Amino acid sequence: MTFAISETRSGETRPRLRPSWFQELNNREFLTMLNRELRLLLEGKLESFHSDVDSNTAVMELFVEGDFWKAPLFYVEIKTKIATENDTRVSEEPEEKLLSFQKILRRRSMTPPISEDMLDWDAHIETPPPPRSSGAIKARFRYAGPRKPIPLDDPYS
Amino acid sequence: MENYKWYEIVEGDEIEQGDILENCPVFVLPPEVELDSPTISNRLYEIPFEASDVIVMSQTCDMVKGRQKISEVLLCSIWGKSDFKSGDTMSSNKDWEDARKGRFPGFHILNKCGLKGFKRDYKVVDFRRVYSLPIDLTRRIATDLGQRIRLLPPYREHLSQAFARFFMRVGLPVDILPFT
Repeated sequence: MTFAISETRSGETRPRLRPSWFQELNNREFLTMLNRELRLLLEGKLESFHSDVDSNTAVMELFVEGDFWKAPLFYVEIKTKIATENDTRVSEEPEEKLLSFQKILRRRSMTPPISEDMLDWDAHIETPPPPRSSGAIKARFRYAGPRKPIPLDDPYS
Repeated sequence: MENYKWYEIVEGDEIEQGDILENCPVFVLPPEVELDSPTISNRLYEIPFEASDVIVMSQTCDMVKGRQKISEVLLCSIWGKSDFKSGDTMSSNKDWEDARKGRFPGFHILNKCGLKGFKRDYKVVDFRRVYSLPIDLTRRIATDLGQRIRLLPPYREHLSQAFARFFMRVGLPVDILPFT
């Protein structure tokens, strides 16, 4: 099994800023899953497999759970090379775990990213920028009687 | 993303939702105007007007020539990013980012325009500054402008939805306490 984890930071994502809570949650959940996989491999829980394991133990040290938020954008590639002598399965295969994670992700993504507390309904412009130009017209008011509703064509007639 | 461009250049007196009218006169009635008597007033008033950039908020289907269903066109003020002085609301990138993310329901951000001859900065639509003009006058103003910018779908529907969301807001006098 090959776990290849690489991290891509984009200038646009401003990595020094903490990402939104749901993005952080997703990052954390994904990395926790990967760490768990790596730990299983390192602890020899997959001994019954004849595996081509190419895992990088340094990855375990790169991501401390409390520091996940510092890496707002990840590219994770998982290549599986597992050959078993029999068909016994001792755990879900990584693809299945990834699928279940994606399901969780989709479910979480349904949550509106903006909570009511983050909305500022009172934000307003007190002093608007000056108009391009201004002037005045002179006018007299003439009472034209009450307005009447505009007749509409009845689409059902 | 050529198929999803934000703006196009139009001209003529056909008005659609999302049309941007630059230097459009908006009238501000002075508070001293007396309208007590439903008769002809002989008093001559001086009515100030300002030339502002506005965007048409009325529905396109209500403004089709020959089948128009409204007599006044609803307009909202828009300003460019560089129009704001330092220290004012919307003078910082943070304010613009908050508005872009929808955290300021009273504002809506429009993308910059890169069309040849019509390069424009990012704009903010202020839903609190609403005007109306008679539709025939608006058509004439639009015609006199010559070529002008029109916001295209789905961005104009996005704008319209944001306006509706702001307009239909309800503040509860007694809210439910948090469950924490």
